[in-house]
Amino acid sequence: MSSNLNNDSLPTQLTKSEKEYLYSVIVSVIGEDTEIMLAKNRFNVETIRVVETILMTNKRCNSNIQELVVGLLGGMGHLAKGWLRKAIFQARKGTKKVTFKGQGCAVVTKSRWKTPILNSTI
Amino acid sequence: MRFIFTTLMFLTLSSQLFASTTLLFGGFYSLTIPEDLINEAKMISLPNSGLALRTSEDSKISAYVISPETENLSKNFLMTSYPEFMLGLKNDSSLSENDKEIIKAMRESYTYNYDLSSVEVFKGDTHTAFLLVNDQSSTFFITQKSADQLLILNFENFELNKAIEMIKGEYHVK
Repeated sequence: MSSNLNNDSLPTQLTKSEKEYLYSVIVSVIGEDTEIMLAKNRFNVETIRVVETILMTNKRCNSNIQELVVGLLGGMGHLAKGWLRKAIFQARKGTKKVTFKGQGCAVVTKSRWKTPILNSTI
Repeated sequence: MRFIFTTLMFLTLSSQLFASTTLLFGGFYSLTIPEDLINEAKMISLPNSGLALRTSEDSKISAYVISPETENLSKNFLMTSYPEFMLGLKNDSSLSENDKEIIKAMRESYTYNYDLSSVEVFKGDTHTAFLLVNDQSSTFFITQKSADQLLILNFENFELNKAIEMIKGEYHVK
């Protein structure tokens, strides 16, 4: 996982639907959270970077997360850094939305990552 | 007259040079932030009695506390030992299965961003600080004797030496 996707051509600002989609990914991993939901409008590319790290970290923790990652990847099939920004951009263009909800490791994942998610919004 | 003026100037400059703001976290911890980091900073509140700020130079400082209750650990879990178990510095065979699982999952979550084998430990009379570092960030786990809470402090895009000096000064560790 040493390579990086070139996302320079993608907009740096997230659209409202991209923010909604990113929140649905977060909910898939740590469940509904009021504080994160309220911060949704401030989601940005840094938030995507944090969520990508959560997904990559939890792939080992929970096999369901692996399924979620595969769903998000769609046709990309390559986990280079920056893949989630591209996946979210493509989702806006009509890729099938993932509605998977994984529960395992949710407690630890929420404790570990809620703060970095919120921290990314300032 | 000149002496009075010079003294007043010195006091004014001193108060500006050494001005600071102290932030409180949970029931045991605080962090004194120099005024130059607070000026024009953006702040948000975080869960677990936490706070995050982005300085005008795009550095980030965030802190929050954890306790056995927030982590779903056994009520009698000693938070002073949490970093040692989590960072693999202490054998976890004495822990319950539930506590072991939680600690293990937390350890794995840090493994992705940090090399846990290179943890640095600063000790003082009352506090101990455990430091993890990577290219972009540094995270301190700070314990206090007799406290059932632990402070997690994260610095991003922030000079490591400055962060270490801040922690050493605040918690009298070396």
